[in-house]
Amino acid sequence: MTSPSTEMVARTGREADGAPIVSVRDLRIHFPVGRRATLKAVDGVSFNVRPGEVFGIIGESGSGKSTLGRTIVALRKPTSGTILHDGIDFNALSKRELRTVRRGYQIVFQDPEGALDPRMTVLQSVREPLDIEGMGSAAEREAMARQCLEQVGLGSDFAGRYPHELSGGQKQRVNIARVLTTRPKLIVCDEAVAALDVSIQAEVINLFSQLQRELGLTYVFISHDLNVVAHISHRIAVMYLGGIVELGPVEEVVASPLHPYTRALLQSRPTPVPASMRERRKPALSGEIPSAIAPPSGCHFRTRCPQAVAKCEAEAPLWDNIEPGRWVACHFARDSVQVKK
Amino acid sequence: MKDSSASDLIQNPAAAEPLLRVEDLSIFFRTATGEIQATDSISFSVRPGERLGIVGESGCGKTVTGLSLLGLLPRFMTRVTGKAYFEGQDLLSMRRARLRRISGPRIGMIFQEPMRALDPVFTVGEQISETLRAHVKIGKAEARARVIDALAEVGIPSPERRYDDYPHSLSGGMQQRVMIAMALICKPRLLIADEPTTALDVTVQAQIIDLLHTISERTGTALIFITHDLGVVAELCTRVVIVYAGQIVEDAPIERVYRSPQHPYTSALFRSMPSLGVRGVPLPSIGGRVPSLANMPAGCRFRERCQYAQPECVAKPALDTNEQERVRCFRAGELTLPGAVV
Repeated sequence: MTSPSTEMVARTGREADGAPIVSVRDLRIHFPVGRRATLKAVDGVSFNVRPGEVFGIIGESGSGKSTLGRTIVALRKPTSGTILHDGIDFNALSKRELRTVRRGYQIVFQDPEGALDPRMTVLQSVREPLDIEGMGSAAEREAMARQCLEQVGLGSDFAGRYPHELSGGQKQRVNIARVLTTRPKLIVCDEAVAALDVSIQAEVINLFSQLQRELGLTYVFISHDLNVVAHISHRIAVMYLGGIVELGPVEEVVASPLHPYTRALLQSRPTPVPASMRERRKPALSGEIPSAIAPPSGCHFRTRCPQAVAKCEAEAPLWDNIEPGRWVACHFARDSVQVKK
Repeated sequence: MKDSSASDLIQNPAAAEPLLRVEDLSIFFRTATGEIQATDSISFSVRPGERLGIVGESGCGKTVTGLSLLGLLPRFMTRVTGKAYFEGQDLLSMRRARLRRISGPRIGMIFQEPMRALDPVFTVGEQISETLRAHVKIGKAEARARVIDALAEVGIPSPERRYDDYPHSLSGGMQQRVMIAMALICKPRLLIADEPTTALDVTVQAQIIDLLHTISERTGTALIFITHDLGVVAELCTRVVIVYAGQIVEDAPIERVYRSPQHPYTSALFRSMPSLGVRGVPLPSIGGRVPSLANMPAGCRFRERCQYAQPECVAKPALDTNEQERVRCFRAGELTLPGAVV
């Protein structure tokens, strides 16, 4: 995971270790609100997702993480900026070409219930993507669907059941089986375990890891839960109000966060240690995330940042490749790295 | 041993008289195919100033238990048996009007989604004021002043202005603060909070937990905190009750539960938490699923998912009481189970 000079990476977006599976450059996704206002859901993010990695995206509601996820699988068009999938710009493809190529990039959503048709059996649901694509004969499609069900741990006795006969965890397994039918390279998991109880959540997280090893998948794993993201990801990007504020290998980001917002997230996550057995902490941040329609000037985080000074209001911090593999957008990040050394 | 009720606990001289004593609370749902039982003889007590966490997964009966105490379950489709003594009076056998008069000012409740509990067509100030004036005879001007104080107390900036805001113009965290202000306006002795931070962002959740902690310490208000999240409970509670499939399986001071859980389910819950897992190593999951309410096994309800199950577990284990602790497992005391804290 070596990077050539900072400048190079920043400009070309190519890192030394081979071509990225998804390369996002200065991506902006804006929505018109009313007559004049614009909601800047995603406002200038750049990163690469490497083949075979779990790229975690953590952020609170309104940070733009779900919009970003949907855009990666071409469910939305960017307002500006580019996304290359294996070097290909989807915008340059014909409709027919796009249809074939985009099969390789799938998404699993939070609500396992909402993604399934209550009138279809499990097998029909899983087979549906293949039916739509018209791949192979009916018998082949069914065999494929059964194989995918097997892969997610649902035996053949589940094939004829309807969604209401399944638990939340089983429904989410069906949704995973469904996206596997198209043999994707990359799956965006958008809060895919958030609606599940902790014991079931653990099973589905394990399933994701296992499928990744067996099928060589790449994930973009989006969650508001830092514990979940940190467990499964190799690298994580921390989003706040439309931008990525920090990006790096998960161990390093968790052990020595460079952005004050990352530090606040780490401090705020509930830990299963009774308060009486440790020091009581004050809440790391006051206030809440501002509106993406009228974000603060300069650094978007400055209104809640304990370190903010006048400069943060005047100037937006640069996206700085501060150490090999680590990126941060904060005026003070270089100082804190110096202090550490 | 018979299922022991909370009354055994107060024989401990160290413990104060409970504020709330729930005994053998069972809740039944009427369905088209007959009655199904949602909770089975739930007994627990809450002392003044105590912060009790009730923890369990979806469908375990934790929410309906909270609702039943305030008579908030729809009558035509539920049946509730048992007792719930609050300051010596049984809430469950009271007529609704009397329950409202007694419990309204003395027991507050907050929910997961503040927006569903707030009326969109009235300002937040009016709604809190209405609550106050339903129970206390005071004029509008005085009520307004008290509501503004209450809004300030829960950390709402410029409360005079916020008084006239409608719920939709407030953020999720601010809405939840308004709910807390409303629940506390009559200075209740007990606050029941059902997943009050689940819909909030983690940095805002930390603020609300801190607020509840501060309020309960300053005013001595007892708290029942219903949640699925063992992390949040650790931040806030002094005691925890673990519920599985409609039954209490463990009840003890929080330090004991987190250091050495006695029930295999409690321990399994801890182990499946991602924060305690090792990256790259599968999380130890429980396996199987919770039995359905309509089809509960006769013996230990956790038996089929329990790695420590033995032939004797086909019989129903009692909720054994020892000092201030209770556990429902034949093998309690014999097993050493991992917790969350070493």
